[in-house]
Amino acid sequence: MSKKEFLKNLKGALSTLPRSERKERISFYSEIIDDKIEEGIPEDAAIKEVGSVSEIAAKITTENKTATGEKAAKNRSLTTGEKVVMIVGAPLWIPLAIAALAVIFSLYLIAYAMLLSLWAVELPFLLISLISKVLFPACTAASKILTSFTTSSFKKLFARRKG
Amino acid sequence: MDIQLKRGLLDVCVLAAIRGEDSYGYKIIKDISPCMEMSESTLYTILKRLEIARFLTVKTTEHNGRLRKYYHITPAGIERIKEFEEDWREMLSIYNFVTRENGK
Repeated sequence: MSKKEFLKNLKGALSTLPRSERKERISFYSEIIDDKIEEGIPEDAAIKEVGSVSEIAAKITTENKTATGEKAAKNRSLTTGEKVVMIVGAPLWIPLAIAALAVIFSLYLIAYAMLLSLWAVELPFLLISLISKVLFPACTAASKILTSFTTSSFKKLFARRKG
Repeated sequence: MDIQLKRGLLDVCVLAAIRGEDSYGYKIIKDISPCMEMSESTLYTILKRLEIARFLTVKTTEHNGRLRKYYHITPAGIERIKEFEEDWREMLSIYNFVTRENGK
């Protein structure tokens, strides 16, 4: 068997593994076979030394199983005693859970209401500043025109009386 | 042998194999072989575990037109070996005590 064939078979045998792990394991074997060949071991002998594909696949699956088994043992599911407590205690903990959720929801509501009210307070100020920036110069201009108009008409009036 | 103990021994063996200088998969297996037989799949699992625990780092370099992964021990890895040595010294004194009692 050539190295290429071996790796192809191994890929097929490890199809249940996640893609990244499969790729990494295959490149690991590829590297070791290349190193063996580089040392002067013939290709087929080097592959035989690594072991048969089925052997390797079986070993990897059992190794992974023990690893996941240990993990599962750590975050094990509830024991029967705990399940009984859960069911018997349901009338107590379900309303409590609902109350807790309601409290959290109301806190959210308060936060949003505060934001909204702050915005509402801010709005008139914004409007006022906008109005003063635009309308105030217009008003002063208008009053200037008006005063100049009235003074000129008064002057005319006095001039007529004198005359 | 206890699985936990054996795992610890394997981990320290691999760390010891890369302590002197960075090494790669095939060389690690060869260096360890006088002390114990280690299959490629076992070595892969140990290297992965040591990498996750940050006892070693992996660097891929080119070698003869192909890629080779080199494993480099971290200060934490060296610390792990030291810990092992201390533990073993303690174990040895216990062993000595136990065997002496048996002799009487």
